[in-house]
Amino acid sequence: MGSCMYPVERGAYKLLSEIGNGVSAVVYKAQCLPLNSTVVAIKVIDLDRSRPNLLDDVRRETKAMSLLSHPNILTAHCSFTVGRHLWVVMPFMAAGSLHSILSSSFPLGLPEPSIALLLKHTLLALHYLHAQGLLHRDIKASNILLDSNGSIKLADFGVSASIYEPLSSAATFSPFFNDLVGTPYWMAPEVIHSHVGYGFKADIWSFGITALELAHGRPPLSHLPPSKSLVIRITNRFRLNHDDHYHHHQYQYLDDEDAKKKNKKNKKKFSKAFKDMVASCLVQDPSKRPSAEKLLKHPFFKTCKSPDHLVRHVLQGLPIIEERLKESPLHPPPPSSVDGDDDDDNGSGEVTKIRRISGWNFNEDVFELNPVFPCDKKEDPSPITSSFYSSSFLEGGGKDGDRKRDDRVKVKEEEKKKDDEIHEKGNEEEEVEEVGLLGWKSRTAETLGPELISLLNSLSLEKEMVMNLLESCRGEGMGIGDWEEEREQRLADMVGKLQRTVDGLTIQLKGESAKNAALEKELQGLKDKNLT
Amino acid sequence: MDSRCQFRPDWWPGRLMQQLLTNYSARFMSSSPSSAIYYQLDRRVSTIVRLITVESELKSQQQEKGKGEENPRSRFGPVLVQTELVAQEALLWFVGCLSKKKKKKKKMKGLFKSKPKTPAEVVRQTRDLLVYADMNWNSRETKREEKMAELSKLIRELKSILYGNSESEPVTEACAQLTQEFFKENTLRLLIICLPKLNLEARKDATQVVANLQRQQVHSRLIASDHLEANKDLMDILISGYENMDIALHYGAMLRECIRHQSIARYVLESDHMKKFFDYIQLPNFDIASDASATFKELLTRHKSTVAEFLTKNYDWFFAEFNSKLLESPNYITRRQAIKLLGDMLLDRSNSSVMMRYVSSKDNLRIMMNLLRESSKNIQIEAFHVFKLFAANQNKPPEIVSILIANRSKLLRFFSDFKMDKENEQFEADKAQVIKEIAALEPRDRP
Repeated sequence: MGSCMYPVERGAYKLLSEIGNGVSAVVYKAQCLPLNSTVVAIKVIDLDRSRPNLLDDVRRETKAMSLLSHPNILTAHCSFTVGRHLWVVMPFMAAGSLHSILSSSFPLGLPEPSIALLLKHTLLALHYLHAQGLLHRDIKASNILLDSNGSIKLADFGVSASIYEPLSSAATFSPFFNDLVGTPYWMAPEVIHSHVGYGFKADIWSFGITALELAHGRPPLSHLPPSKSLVIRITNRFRLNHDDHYHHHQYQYLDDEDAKKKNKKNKKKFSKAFKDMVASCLVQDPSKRPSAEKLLKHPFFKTCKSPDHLVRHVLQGLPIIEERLKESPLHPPPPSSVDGDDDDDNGSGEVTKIRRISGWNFNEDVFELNPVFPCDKKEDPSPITSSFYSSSFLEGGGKDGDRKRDDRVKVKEEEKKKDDEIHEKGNEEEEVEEVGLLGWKSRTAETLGPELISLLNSLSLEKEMVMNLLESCRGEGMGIGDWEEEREQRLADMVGKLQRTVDGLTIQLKGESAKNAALEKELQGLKDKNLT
Repeated sequence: MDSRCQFRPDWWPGRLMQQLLTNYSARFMSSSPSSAIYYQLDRRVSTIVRLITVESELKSQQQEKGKGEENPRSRFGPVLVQTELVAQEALLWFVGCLSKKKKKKKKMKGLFKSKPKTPAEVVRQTRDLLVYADMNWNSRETKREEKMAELSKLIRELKSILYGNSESEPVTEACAQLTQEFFKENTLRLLIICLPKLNLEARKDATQVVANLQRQQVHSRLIASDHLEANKDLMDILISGYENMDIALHYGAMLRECIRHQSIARYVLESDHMKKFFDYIQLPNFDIASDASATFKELLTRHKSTVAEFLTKNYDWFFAEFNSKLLESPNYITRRQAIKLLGDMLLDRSNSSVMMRYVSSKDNLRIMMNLLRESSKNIQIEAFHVFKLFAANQNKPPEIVSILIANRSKLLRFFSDFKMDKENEQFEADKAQVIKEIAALEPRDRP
């Protein structure tokens, strides 16, 4: 464990400067005085500012961190409480997160050899985690840290889950999880459609998205507010399939990005191997994505350089981490700011980990490439997860201007006001509602009714669109033959599924309105009673 | 023991010997409960030789019948005499391979495809290596390392039988076999005792194996429960793990699985260890302290009837400790977890008599009222869930009534501003009830 040597008392550490900041956690650079003033990073988590089950999340995270041992995984030296705060003492990763490196020095992405190296080490960490039965569930550039010697570590187990330790009271052992966790842009479709549960392959998807993030300086679709990216991802499959007689799988992403880059007069060429590797991670069907182990054997990773390469090509001349943090609030665009070691509120378990990115204007071209369907409100077709949706939507609402370091936000009263403002700014068509998981449950039937109706509307709209798509496929696909049939079958299935969901929701709606009526009656009765 | 493939395949007595030893070694290994293998070998030599002879005679008889066939066994007759020598040689090899270097095995693997081990065999081999690890901790460095590597591999194999792996789901029959063999002898004890000698990965695997075994049913019986019942002192070892940072999390996880069995939970509750938990919960290392408090909570909430019985019997010392060490602890996290747990315990129907007793004490009321004054909202709210029981009690003792009356205006003022972050109907209803109760209080002695 190695933790024995680090003292577990506040007095032994001297905080030097803040290097990262999240909603309920701040990361400091610090010195451990009894150990020759070794520099460490200390993540200070406010245990009082959060949902009640934060403690369980924190316990899971610290436990995961102290039981893991891999050169590419950031583990904790020790952790202890100081008043209401938990101090997690970790190795100091001097070069900070890849995300902060991208935003300070490589806003348009890193060169391919460096990407290969970074991804390979990330993949090694992922392979280790998966072999341990752990899912990371939040792979992205801001969770990949670099030290000044070029060593690469995967961090932040705030939302990780173990297949060996059921999250809740669930007695059965299951390698699938149903809670919505992660950060939208990096989220795999089956996480979004979380009713089907997801396993290790969800991490592979996020890994693929992270690859694109490193290539382009930001994740795909990040010009949209996070909630939107969820919607598009959900509807996306049709479009992608539609186009893919031309391009296998989802080269689309790369091509979209490339197209955009060209617009920006910044041509970037990536190798075939790289595109192929990313495409294999971004296959819709999780079972068709490679495992971490298999992915490690991909030709893309064959010719990896040594970590020195990073030192020479990426880390050289990089502003030091504290400076990056200072600069960022002043700096407008490139993707938000410094995450320092570990920026987030690591308690934000099931409901949300929403990254606030905005400041990108809507690009007409992109609009064409990534049609945003004109509905008032999009929800997951699954009624089961709709509650998750509304809560993530609301915070995902995108936020102009305020590019603070808090990438992720939790459902919190205080946020409401800000969110309201945003929506006044005309931020898309999303209907914003502050609905937490609990809020949803306890919500009265009155508010539920209209919401379900709008949900129903959006679903029928979606259905319509699918129909249109189906038609257009039929129209143009005449000559193409074999893939055409398969696609049609798939679309028909999809439509059927959606139809069923709509039916289910209709029934649910009826039930709710009945309940609503009953409740109203009861309320009336009570009022009467009160009056008399 | 893959190196049974030592024999040259073209030499048939070699093959026969190999087969015999394969069959025999399983029994041989399983029947030696300790590392006495070496000592017992001598006695076994004659047995093996006899077996071989019998086998050979049988073969030769068979051969008489099927004369004329082109069969390598036709060379059997002349070699028969040599069998004894072969047996000797085989045994020497057998002894040798127990301490042979691994690399040799690798070389030999190509010659014979060794059959996959049965789950029971894996357990037996694990057990033998654990015995070795337990007894020969001071033996030669290289040799020991080799054995420990082998042991780690076997434990991982056990894990993949129980949990399945990327290629296959666990097989019920294999799990049952493994479980049966595991609990037949003292494998659990050996594994627990040797855990500190394993490396981190093997420790984690071992913990998961032990956890899984607690849930395995054989003939619809949880044999783990029976085994633990007969070996309750294992709990003592596991609990003491909280005093050793290196193994605390592993022992802790095993312990929590073991107390899923009601009888085992009862044993722990009634043991002196219960008192130690009050200290373990406040250990400076957060991960260990929170592991201990997870176990503590499990003990006090999982098996309702046992918990009710325990709390009734041990009310005085338990709540004295609970109040002074946990609820009044200077440590924020301890207070927060304790008040939550107290609420869970008292609000459980099975503990209603304990609850009545608790809410009749003015000292307890004082503690609750102090917790209501905490600056932490989380603590305030949890304290409210207990406080409401004092107020809702229809048979409030006079001293409780007088405290409530003395603080009536302060309490009412406090509750009027007291809100949850999120709207919660149940909470509001409870609060209204409490306010009503307090507002309506009349001093008892003035009817």
